[in-house]
Amino acid sequence: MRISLTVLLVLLLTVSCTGKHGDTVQLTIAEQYGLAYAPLQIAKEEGYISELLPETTVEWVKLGNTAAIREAILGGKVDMGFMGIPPFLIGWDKGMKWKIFTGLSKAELGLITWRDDILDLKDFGPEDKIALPQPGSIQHILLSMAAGKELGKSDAFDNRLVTMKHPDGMSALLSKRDVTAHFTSPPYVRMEMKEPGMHMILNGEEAMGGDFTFIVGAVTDTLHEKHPEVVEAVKDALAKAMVLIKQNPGKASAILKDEFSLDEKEIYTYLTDGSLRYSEDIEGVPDFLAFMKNSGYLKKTPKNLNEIIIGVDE
Amino acid sequence: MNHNPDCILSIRGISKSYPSISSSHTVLSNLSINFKKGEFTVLLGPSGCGKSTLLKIISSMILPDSGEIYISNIPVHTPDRKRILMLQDDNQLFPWLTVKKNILFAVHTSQGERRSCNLENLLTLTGLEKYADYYPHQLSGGMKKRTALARALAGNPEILLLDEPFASLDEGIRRTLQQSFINIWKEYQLTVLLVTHDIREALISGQRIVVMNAHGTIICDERNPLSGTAHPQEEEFFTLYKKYYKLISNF
Amino acid sequence: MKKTGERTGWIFLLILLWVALIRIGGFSPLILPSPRDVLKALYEGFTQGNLGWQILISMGLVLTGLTAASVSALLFFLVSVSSRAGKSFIETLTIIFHPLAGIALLPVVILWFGTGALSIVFIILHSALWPMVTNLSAGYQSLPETYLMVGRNYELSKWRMSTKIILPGSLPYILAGLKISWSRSWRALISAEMIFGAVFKTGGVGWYIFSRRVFMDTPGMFAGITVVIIIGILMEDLFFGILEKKTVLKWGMSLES
Repeated sequence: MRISLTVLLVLLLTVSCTGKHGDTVQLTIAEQYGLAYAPLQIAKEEGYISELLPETTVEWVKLGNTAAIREAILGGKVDMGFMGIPPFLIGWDKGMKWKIFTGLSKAELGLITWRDDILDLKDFGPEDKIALPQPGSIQHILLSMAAGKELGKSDAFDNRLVTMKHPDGMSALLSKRDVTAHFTSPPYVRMEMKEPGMHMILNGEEAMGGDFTFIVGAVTDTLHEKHPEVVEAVKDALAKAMVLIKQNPGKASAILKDEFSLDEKEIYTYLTDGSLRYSEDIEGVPDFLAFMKNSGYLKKTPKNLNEIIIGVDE
Repeated sequence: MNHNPDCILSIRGISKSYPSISSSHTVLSNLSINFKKGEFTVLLGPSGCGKSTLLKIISSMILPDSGEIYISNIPVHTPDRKRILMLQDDNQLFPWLTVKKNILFAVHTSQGERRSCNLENLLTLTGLEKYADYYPHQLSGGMKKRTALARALAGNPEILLLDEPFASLDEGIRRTLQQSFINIWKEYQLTVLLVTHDIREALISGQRIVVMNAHGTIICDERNPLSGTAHPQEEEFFTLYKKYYKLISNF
Repeated sequence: MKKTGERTGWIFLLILLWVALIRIGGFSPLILPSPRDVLKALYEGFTQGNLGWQILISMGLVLTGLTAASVSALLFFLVSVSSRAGKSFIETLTIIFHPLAGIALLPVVILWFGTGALSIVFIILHSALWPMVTNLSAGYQSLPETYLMVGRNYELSKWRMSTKIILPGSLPYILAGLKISWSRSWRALISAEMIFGAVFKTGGVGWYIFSRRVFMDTPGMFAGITVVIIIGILMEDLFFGILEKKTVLKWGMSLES
């Protein structure tokens, strides 16, 4: 019974996903929740994409995590998605036909603990749990990189992870009970650091040993090959939004306040305190590739970066 | 009221009615009767006259609206193993126990110890030797009755209350079982109160025959002159049969 | 074993359908992997991964939860037969909590018990308890009055009355309740594991499926689902099948008959 249901479900899913994309171009973009996606929100709210692509129907779907985005893209439901570099690479490694077309943001990531006795990764005991969004996420890969460097064992924490969304992870950390540390991103890093007794053991740059892009945009090869102009337009719309955030953070905050149901001033602080930097640049892909291949998270690496990034020549 | 030391069971002024749709339906009304130790009494009456209710009241399974039950001149209100009731219901055997274990259920005391019991003898008497390891659902209605009877006997009661114990049995088996039950009664020196609507059965087995009418009133209570010797071909048997038939049928 | 034969036949047919679907549909293995890939992932799960342990952990969690639920259900049952007020109290509790999916309680459970094994056991306890309580009281109500009369006649203590008559007499209902409880708690466990992450180092089967998902290992995901299905079938057909054959079916007490 259960097998038959599973088969049926897969059947329905795949059948319903074929036959999309008619004559008029349709673009479906998957977004996630968070300030790191701010240019995307602004482009959406202000209609930047439709301005550049009057003939194209743009649809937005909000998904809870990168695994769901990948699955939606795989099912043909979504053409474009935004996520960390490692989840993108995992999808590519498993055979997904897609490429990175833009960077979106860099961010201050950090591993924060409430325990005074923990100053370093090696201070974690076998019972100490670390909360992060999910295995395979950028936070997990950064933690593994740091563990590899400091402890010589990149999977040292793999059995001590608790999968939690950022807000849940924060409340778990602040309750100082189940979770020893939380690997998170803005605005939670600053919010947690404001609480008494919290300190950061590790930040993203230290783990990586350099600068890297936090969120990138990825597009299916199908869409890119058929309609490169659509991809270009989205990239331009995002660039326009980034300029707005940089030059007029007040206006950007006003646009974003409804989306995040946060106080305008608060958003303004987050946009300007330096914890988030919006940029089209794509940095850190080779480092992630090298580490993830060595640690067995990836089975292959591209011969040339242009296999996975649009518009690079190497 | 007499306080005869021979009187083991005394029923005094029992009334019982059940609520029905319009009013309450009286089953027993101010009924009194005594039983002597070792006596085999047959309570004869038409269906629905309250015989089964009376047995349940005597065994304290249900309480009367008024009146008292005395055992050896002591009033009783809760069931005990001195008065074992064999129900008419087919559902009185435990389906999860074999015939043997259903019978042995009676020899466990409330503390869980086992009393002495001649299981083999009981199985032979009731003709269940071959069925000791059967489960109740594998048995015919007759064999279920026999198992229930064997269990009632295994409990070694002072007073055995039987509700139509031989109904629904084949004629041949019924005859044998009635006869072996008379032997058991003699051997165990039991006080027996057997309820039946079968006049023939009453004449064959009872020392004393009590007749109840359809309203739960005792209309006849006398010694059975044929006790232990009854033979359906005899003239006297036929006369008595007709007499009781008229009484029951409310002529 | 006619039933086993039929079951195997149908499953075989479904696998054939699966293969046919791949051949005809030409699906990407990321959407629908072949049975061979799934089998390989399953093998790797056992040999290279911790799938064996993970199964044991999941089973251990379910058994712990079910045991806790059985004990609680028995206590609740005793309360409900002890007095009228007790009965209506337990009935009210059942009405409130029975329809509440275990997953709906998750946020509260996290607040109270955190995200460890205790929380998972609590979710299982909740999923299993109410069907048990309902079935215990249904079993008690369906118990023929005559059984109780016989018990009273032989002066059984309350304890012996419960253990020698009420419990065996309600067994068909108890078993039915146990079956529902098992399937509900198995489902709840897999969902809870996917949310709570790895308990006892490696986590259980639910965590295995989730970790396969985040690394986009579709054959691994299917392997995990296969394990969940196989355990379900084994419990249903083998464990409960044998248990029923040895008890209620042997005694002619099956609810179906």
